[in-house]
Amino acid sequence: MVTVIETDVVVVGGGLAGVSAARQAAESGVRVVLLDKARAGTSGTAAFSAGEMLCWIPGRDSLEDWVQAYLEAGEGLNSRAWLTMFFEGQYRIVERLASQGFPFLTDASGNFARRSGRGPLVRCVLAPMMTFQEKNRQACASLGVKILDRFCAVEVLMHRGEPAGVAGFGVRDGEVAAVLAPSVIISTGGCSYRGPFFGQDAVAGEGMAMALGAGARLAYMEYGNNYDVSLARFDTCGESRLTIHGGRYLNGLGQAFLEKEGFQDHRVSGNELARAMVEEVRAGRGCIYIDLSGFKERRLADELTPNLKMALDRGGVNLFADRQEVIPAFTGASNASPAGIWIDRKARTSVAGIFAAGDCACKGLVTGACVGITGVSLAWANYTGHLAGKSAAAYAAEAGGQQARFEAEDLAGRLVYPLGRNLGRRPGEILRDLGEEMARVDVSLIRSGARLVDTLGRVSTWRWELENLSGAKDLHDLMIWYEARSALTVAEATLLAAVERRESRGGHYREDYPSMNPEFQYVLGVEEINGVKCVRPVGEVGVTGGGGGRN
Amino acid sequence: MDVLRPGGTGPVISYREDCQSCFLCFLECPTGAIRVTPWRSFPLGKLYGRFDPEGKGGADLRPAEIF
Repeated sequence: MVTVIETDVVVVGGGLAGVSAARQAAESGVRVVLLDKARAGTSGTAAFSAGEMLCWIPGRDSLEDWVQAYLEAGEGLNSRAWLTMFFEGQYRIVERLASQGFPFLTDASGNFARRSGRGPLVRCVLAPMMTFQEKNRQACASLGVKILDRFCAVEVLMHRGEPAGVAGFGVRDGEVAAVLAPSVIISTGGCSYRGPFFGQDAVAGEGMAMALGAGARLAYMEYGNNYDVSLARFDTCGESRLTIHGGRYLNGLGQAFLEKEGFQDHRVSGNELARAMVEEVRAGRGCIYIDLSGFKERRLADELTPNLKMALDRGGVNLFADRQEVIPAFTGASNASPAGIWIDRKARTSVAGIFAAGDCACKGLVTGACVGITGVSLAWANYTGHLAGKSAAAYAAEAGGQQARFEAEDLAGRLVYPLGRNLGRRPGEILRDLGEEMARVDVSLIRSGARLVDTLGRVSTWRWELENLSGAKDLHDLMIWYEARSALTVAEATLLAAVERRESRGGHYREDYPSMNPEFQYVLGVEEINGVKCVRPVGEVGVTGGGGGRN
Repeated sequence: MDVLRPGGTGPVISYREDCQSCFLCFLECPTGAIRVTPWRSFPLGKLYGRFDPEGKGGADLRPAEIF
């Protein structure tokens, strides 16, 4: 039994990008269905973030300075056209949202308050994301968006090479449903392999896997290796932002090792910081600590990460009194990672009718090879969410109400086939192994061709185990099964692209090719052709301005 | 995400591994019955791998060492 819902635009994923896309599409006057495996609005990583949203502001910032700084940081893999469009568009959207009552902090003069961050030139407006996202969800509901919470989307339905909608099942009731629509927006976040870090526990690359399965292209996948910093003893993430206001990193000898290398602690990108930490440990100067005794504005720390403060208060930990051990926090193809689904300037993927937004769309178009810029993730979700919503609504309107078709035959049986099977390990165990393997710094941070291939072999074995042996004991476990399968797909794409990029550039570092090679100044794409993942260049971003594909 | 479910004697945490550490249940519980601790709940594995064969980098914390 399959429930069929007909609409114009179906949005998969209810984080900042997805809810914004749904609202924007509904404002354009089309019917919209929004799906989320948890609860749209508070789902994903945005709601748990510190609300720092990169935002260039005309009159206060030089556009040329910003574009130049990001082109330099992108090391040849980002585009002037994209940067200009992103900075200007993001500001217009923020201004409009503020006028509609979305919460942004202001200074004493009533202007947008902003803070600095890690990266080339970072100024972020500040939005309390829990409140922001509740308002976003309410706006969707008032515009008539049909919201299906606890719905695990599994695949994009295709009919004669065109998207027909999305299929999945209810996590609570197991009801299989097909949401038919000519326009599909994928906004499921990135892939942190369900990493054990604050706010990164739920993103497993479902959107990237669905897009790849539908014939769309992924890009910048070798940069699906984002690292931030976590306190070693707590499930936290993002402590590196505390260095902006006076925090420092110390090695086991008490030396401020970044200063020693000529860096300012808050200027390095996440992956540069992680690499420096590894080098200290490698040289026998570990553990690594964060020292906040020189932190200038302690109140800011509470504002920036209120949940972290609450957690530490409960644990009886005073971050400012004692130095705390920190570790690199691997968040993979999530957060400030450039990796994701290839999109053009209208958020169209390489398959007509499928759009992508947020962390699952490749933000490398604006960050290039730089991994770990503060505030870019929220800004990208906000910008591409609105872009995708507008474009998908226009595409659906062009379809003229013609309903998408699909073959429902055996859909229910096909989607739930792992349910009740009990031949191997639980999917959560496989996902845990995968996450640990990908988080290894000698796999994702300081790479070599041999180790990448070795890990690819393990990933292949785990995929076989999952698909042929592993079963799901209940509906929740079935959702984990699909998350594991998606994460395996993202891992394969990431590792294959990392093998192919035989040079070091930005956040991708190869011990066997430690220098940048000008011949590799192009973006690598990953596509699935006849079931085989193929890695190949998708052109010089600076020339094409992003996009390409069949649209 | 879907971690609190009805149990025989009241709500129970069915899927501990799904806790996103957002502390919302703790914040919004009207009777203060929920307490979420920030302590890392499972090991991270050999994070530094072959760059730290003796494990001096400190990343291979085990729950037993933490609690």
